[in-house]
Amino acid sequence: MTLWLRVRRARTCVAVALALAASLLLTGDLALPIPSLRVGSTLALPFAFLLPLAVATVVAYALGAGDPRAEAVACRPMRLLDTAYALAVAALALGACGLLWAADVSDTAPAAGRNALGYVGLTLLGRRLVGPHAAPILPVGFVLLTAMFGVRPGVERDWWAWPLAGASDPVAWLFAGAFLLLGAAAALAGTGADR
Amino acid sequence: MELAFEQVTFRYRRSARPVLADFSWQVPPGRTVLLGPNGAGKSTLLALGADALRPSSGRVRFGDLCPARGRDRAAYRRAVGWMPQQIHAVPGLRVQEQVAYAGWLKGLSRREAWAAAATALRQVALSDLAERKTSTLSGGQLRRVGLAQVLVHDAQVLLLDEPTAGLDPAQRARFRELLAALPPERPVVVSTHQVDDLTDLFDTVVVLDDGVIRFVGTVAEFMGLAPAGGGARPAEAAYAQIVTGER
Amino acid sequence: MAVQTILRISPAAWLGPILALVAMGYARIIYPATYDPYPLALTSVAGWTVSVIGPTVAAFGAWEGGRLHRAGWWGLPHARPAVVVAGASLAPVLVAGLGALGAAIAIRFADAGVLAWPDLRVVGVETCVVTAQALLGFAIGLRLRPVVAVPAAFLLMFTWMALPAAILPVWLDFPTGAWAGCCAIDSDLAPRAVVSAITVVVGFLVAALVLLRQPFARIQFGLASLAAALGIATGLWLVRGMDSNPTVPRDPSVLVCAPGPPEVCVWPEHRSRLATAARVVAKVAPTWLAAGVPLPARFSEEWSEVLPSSTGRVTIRSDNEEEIVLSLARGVLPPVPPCALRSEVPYFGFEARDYVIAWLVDVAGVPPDRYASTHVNGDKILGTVAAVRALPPDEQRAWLAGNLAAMRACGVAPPLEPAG
Repeated sequence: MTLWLRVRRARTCVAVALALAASLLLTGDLALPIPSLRVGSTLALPFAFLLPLAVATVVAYALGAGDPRAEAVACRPMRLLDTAYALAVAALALGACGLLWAADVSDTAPAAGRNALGYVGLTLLGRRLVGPHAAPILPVGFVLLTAMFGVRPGVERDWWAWPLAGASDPVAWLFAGAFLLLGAAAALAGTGADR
Repeated sequence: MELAFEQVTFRYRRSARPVLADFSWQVPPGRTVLLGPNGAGKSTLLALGADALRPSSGRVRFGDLCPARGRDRAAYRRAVGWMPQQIHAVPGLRVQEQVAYAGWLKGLSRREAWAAAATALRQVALSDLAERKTSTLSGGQLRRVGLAQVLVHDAQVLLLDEPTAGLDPAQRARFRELLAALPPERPVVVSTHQVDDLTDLFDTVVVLDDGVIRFVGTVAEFMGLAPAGGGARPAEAAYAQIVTGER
Repeated sequence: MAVQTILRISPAAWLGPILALVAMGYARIIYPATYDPYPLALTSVAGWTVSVIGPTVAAFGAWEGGRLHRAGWWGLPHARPAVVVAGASLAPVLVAGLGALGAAIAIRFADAGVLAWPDLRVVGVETCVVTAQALLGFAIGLRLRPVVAVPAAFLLMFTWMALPAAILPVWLDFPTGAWAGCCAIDSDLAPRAVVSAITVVVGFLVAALVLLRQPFARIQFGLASLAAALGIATGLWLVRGMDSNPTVPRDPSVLVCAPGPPEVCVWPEHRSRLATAARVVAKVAPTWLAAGVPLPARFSEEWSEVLPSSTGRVTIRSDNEEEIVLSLARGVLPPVPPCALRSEVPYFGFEARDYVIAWLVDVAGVPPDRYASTHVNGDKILGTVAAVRALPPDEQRAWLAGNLAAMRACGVAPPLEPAG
């Protein structure tokens, strides 16, 4: 197990999850301009909503960091272990963000933590849909899509653009959780004999 | 217990043509060399045997264990050791750690895996490199790591895909010694496209071509196929006779 | 590489058309620095799309680099130089990126109905930015696994392009090469901004070349980061302290003028309004002179920190005569003295300006409510102007002189309300 955690870059993953929280402290309410094509202007996308992409990327990196052929014929339940590992990293990121919120030092931290859950879910889904090399493209692409098309004139945002929602939006939490579960289910379900 | 392929058909995704079609074969006891040209289906066959690939139809079994059945899968995978053609150096791991990791993947405890890794490295003469990062090894050294990975757990059947590719003559001799030292009751299948690898060490020669077994027999029977006056390389002549003569 | 192969394997080839559509959509929603058909402004606004195009081509480049990384090709002893091998891989990426930039420029010019060449300096800089980011992305892809390289290349480049625009001071944004604030019709692109953006491009190119170098050692990551950081730092140093836009006054030699006195000069994009402006000047100048208004020898659209006192600054925004009168009235006023921007001594000239403009407009025969109605103190201004206009000419001159004096210097109280 110790070796497996080393192979899965556990230290790096923990560091990135904690760095997410530290970055939230540093960046505060900073928002980056991004084109919102349906509104017809630039949207100020909170940096805190982008930062959790680092967590999703490091999870994708860690899950692909082993020996794919040896792991493909392993006797141990590698899919289960890997899925649990991804969920644990997402939970750690959420927990770190939760601590910031509890300490009343960051208002955007809960939303960032929520997005970390959703992005990790999308990454797990991406591993199944587009393969392990391209998996993080799914959450990155989804964030861009929501920023460009998820806001309409006169409407704060579309229902599906959950990464842009504030922390108090229960539907966004539902979506993020649903994506995490969907990703976990996709990672556990297999059609081949790869794990 | 034998490893058996029963009416196995397999095709890669996006490929209309199957690599193996309705293929049946039972791995014989002892040491088998699997010969065949590039693209014959040797690696696919061994990967199917290792449960790294799953047949489109038909089944692979080891005794009563069938990897398609969830309850048999772990036991099946523990029973079959597979050395793939390409050995992956896991970034950050040292040689002994990588071999121990392979043991852990096959169900050994951490302590067992660590001890078994040391033994396996001795078998492949890599003990002196145990602390080296695998990413710094040469191609031949990495193949020996692959061999150690397959020896680290006590598999009942070994499937070795091109184990001598990239090894120097001394290491090839060492590999033959290693093969000879393995208990004869443990079936071993060694795939190669180099007929130079063929020695009396093997009990059975199988020639696979285009997903079809063209020849099964002893080394002597195989050599007997070489045309009279076949020159200094009778094995090559026999091989050519099988692979090209029947087409 | 054969076109068929590129179309089959390159994400840049599949996603290039989508990138072009996004760039076109983006180019249409950015507010330009001017609504005049000024090619530089149109090119700069379209060029701002590099903030999306650059990171996207970096990601495409990382994917192409990752392809060679996985194939283990880079370490082979190629007969061709490394940059040529990289160039072949990056060709579809550059076509996608530069195609999107071209599409953005084309749509912006088409929307404005302008048939002119885009500004080649901006096009050149944006081309360099796109190329450098694609090559840096390629180098990152070559050295990191694609699973990390693609998102890392995108997010790093996106952060570089977007973050400076989100923080102050404003000039932090200039080295990115995305200059939406360039340029009002009386201004030109600041050479410092161009040099600054090129410096960052050079930093990125050097970083990419360091990463491409074989054999690879980890220290190259450090050296590449250093090269990029040095490029950015030098770029920022070059534009430090600049104004809110990366601009300098436009070369006045391109002005087109109608003879006076007073002479009227406009930018070539306003050439069609020159005749009307000259006619209005010919009509109002004698009236203002008779009312004691000191007229400049020349009304001009040129802008400079220090205009000669003989030049009154105007902006001929349309053919509407009343708007031209209003602009001329502004041009008659003395420039704001430097002391007004400091706080040691109070400056009352800003308040006086509104009253004097309304008075000048009224003298020129245009109802003063055209100007004052939009003003917060509109009723008060109109009341005062009516009162002043009821005074004898000498007293009106004295009122005007007192207010102009308050505009020229600090600490001078204007006689807003007429005496008596």
